[in-house]
Amino acid sequence: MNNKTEAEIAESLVSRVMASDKAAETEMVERYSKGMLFMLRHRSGNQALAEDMSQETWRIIFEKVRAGDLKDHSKLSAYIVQTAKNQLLMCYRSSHHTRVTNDVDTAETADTVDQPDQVIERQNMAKVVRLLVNELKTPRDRELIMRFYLREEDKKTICDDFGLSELHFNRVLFRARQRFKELWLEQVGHHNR
Amino acid sequence: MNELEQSQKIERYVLNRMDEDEATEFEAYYLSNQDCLEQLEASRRLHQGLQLVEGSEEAVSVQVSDQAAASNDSHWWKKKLPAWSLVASVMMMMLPTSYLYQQVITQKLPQPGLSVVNLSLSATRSAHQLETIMQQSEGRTVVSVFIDIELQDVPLSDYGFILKKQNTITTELSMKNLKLDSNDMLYVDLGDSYLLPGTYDYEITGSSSTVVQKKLGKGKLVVK
Repeated sequence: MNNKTEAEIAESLVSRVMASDKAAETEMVERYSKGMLFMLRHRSGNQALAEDMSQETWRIIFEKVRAGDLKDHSKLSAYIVQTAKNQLLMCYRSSHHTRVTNDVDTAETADTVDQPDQVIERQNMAKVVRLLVNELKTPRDRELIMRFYLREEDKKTICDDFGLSELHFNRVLFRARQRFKELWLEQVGHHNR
Repeated sequence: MNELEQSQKIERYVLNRMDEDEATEFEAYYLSNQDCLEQLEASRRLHQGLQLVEGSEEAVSVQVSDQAAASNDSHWWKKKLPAWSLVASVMMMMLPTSYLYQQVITQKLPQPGLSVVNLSLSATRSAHQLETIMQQSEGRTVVSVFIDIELQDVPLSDYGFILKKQNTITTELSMKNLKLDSNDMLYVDLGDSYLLPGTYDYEITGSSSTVVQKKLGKGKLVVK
């Protein structure tokens, strides 16, 4: 599959799933599930809810794909994203409905922020960030990172303040992120939980 | 999409600066793109890690020392950090102790190594006490206890943890006003290398506005 484009891979996977090829379903989940989970977590800000939604989204996707509902097979990624978004939206609507009609909100999924693995994840994030900040060569680079990520200041404002070009600014950010990745691998040893 | 375009999109996505259409399009792009996902994950962790470090007392001291080292640079931390440092300091003084403790548990700066030890609870009147064995840790130790709230006849809002050396009346550690997390777990931060080897008795208590202090369970902790 290495030399195929994303569209070609998607077309092949969809055709095989429609032909009841179980291995294709596994390949599809392996290929897209990490991205789907990231997307759901980013949108919901809730790891536990994202995991629940991911399961339900896959159930619906397979049901629809098997039934031939996906017309353009090459657009599988977009279809997965849209289905996941719809699930999240339905979950929020259902949660809101429950809250309005029945004081007890049973639909809400509690987040796992206090779970030990989440505590450790936060510890690791802070640890690696501190290593990174200490490594940054100039106070300017540190301030640039802080102002962009923390205070979420506009890139142009920061560039103007430091007399930097946008290209230079992007290089600093890119280098910081690359170094963060390296430090994460050194200190924690893996990319994702 | 070249590397620079991808990099810019990653930052804008993580900081929620994309409109809905652009975000959806980018999500379809990164869904199966392993490299982009790794960059996104790094960017997310960097963003969250900076937020965690920003709120810490230690970060303030680092900034102060860095500021001194960079005294020739008129830009360094002078524009906004002193303001939030002051606000953070005032808030730290104003926050109730219990809230502060929760923050220590969830947001304390990293230590090299974290051990989480799950404790079991025996009924308070039981002659037999469940025993948990743990190795003395060189890093930070957090103990966790599941509190079955369905067994409570009166809802409790605050919890306490008392740790005593076995067969003594000396209290090694006493925590009050602790809260359960969303999964009814109680986490108690024992700090770094707090416990010397030996056998300890622990007790969990609960209280509310109507219940002064109720014993919920006990157990034995053996530190080796």
